[in-house]
Amino acid sequence: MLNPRFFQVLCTAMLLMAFQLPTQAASASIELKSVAEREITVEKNGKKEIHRIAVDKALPGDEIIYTTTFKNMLNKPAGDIAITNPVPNDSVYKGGSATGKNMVIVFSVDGGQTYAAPDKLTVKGADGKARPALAADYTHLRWTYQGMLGAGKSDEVNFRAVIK
Amino acid sequence: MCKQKPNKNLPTQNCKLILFALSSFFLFISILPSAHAAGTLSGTAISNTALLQCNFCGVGISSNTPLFVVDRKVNVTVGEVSGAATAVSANQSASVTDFIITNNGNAVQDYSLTAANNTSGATLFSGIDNFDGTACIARVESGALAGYDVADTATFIDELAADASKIGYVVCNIPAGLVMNDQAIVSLTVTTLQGGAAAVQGAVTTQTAGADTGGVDTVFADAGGSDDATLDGKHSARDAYRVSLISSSIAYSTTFFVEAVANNGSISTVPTLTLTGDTFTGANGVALAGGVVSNVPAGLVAVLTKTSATTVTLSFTGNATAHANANSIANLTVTLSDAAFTSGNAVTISGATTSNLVIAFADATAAIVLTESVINVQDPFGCNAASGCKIVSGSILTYRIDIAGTGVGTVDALNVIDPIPLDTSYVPNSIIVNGVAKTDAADGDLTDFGITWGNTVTYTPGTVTVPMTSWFTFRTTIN
Repeated sequence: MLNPRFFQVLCTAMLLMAFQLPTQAASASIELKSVAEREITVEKNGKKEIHRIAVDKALPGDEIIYTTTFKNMLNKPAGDIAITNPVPNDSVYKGGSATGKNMVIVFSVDGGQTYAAPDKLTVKGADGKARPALAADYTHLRWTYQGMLGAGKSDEVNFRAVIK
Repeated sequence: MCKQKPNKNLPTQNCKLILFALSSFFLFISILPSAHAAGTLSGTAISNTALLQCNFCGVGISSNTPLFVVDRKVNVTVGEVSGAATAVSANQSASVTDFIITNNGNAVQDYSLTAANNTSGATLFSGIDNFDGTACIARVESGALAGYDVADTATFIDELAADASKIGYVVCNIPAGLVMNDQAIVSLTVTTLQGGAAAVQGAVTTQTAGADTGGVDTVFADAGGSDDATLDGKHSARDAYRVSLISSSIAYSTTFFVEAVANNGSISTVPTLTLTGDTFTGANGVALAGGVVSNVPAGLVAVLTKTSATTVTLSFTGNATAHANANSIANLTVTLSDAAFTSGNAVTISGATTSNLVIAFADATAAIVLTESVINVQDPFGCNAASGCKIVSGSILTYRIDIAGTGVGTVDALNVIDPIPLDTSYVPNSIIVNGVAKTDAADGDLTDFGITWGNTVTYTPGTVTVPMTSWFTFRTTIN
């Protein structure tokens, strides 16, 4: 049986790794990279251009674009690819912002226990009755890749969240 | 990651459990801090980690975790509370307008409050600013008692948390001499100060200049208020005082002026007019400009004299030519015009025109009052003041009768008689009138003893004009 204390220590170790050691495993079979960016408008030659810059600081109300790229590092195709991403802390998912080629995108409103398409999601309203879930209710996003990701191929998924 | 930590005691499915636990933890931290409508607290770190699963990925692969912190957003709002002008009366002190100050930023801040009058002509609540409040101050509600009171002495808001609000006040004195619906517009400007030290007014918060710095930057995100610019770390709102009561007035110490005792047509009453809510113009001790007294009886001249900023006396010189009681009047009128008042607004001052003042003349009357006393005792033993004198047989008593004529006019046939008391004997020729010795005979010196009346001193001054005083003395011996 699993030693409870060991379980706890391992969880803590993993949390630390998740927060403080964002580098991925050296021999990863699939390289997974997440970036947080925001858009700034730059005026160039009288035209307004939208640029994306990496976020190191932001203000409440700012919209952050999260992009996760994945690359098959092995010499064989990968299947059953699913990417799960919690809505970041202190942030609200921006409805309709999740994208990804060949992806079926589903959402969770229960902390990642179950996922469904937006029109299938309900939450308990203030009156205790179920109501359709809003984008602000989402806790997690999940992209499911349709088909196989060939050897050496890469792709990306995106979503936006607004800082509360 | 699980894959990198192979452990024979830890089967794959157990590792999945751990990942779900990790997932739940993300849920936990993403939901808990959502209470702040004003925004995620300054300095909060926001991170993101994606998890990928595939047919050969085992329990999954975690991405790196991009992490950024939330800057300090400075955004304060000032709102006027009542939605209407504060009703005031002219000359009302400590008149209050209410505001609510809200920290819409994402960090604890102090705020300074500044009250100001607005320029004439501004419009608020359908009223136009046409006067200024005086001695305006800004204060913070202490929370001890709702509404502005003596406990509300703070001039800055201390440690206002994100999303929290405080009530602030602008308190002004309202000048005198205003008319109905006059309006003063005031503003409250709130400036964001550094928080972090309780009970200490922080320095003015400044925006971090230039590009992002390594630390938590300060970013102004405030809108422009009524009296400040956008993105300046300040906000402001206006409120107004509107005059809805007139409280300036003149009070007379008396409105009933009587003729002098001399009954000569002069007026002895000198009433004082006391002004509240305004002040009189001109110098003390001189005639009040803009004061007119009408319906004055012929022969009298009314004079209004300023005696202080708020007092004027009404006095009369001369003598009324007709001053019998029947000549009394009840329509003496004092009219104080604009020039009499600092405000220049006589119409706003109740009592500025008073037309029911009474001058009461008296008909002539006269009366005589007699007062008798023993003014000296001399006993037969050669007493003096030091030894004291006894009233014994043989002692000589000196009686004095004072005659006082009061009122006005003459008294005819005045005749004063004083019978000699029992058991005493008159000392012959002891009558002295006003210091002059008289005889006992009826010889034209106006006195006699025992002739007009038996055993009685008689003094007959005849017709006298009052007011007057006179006296006489005589002596008797105790038998």
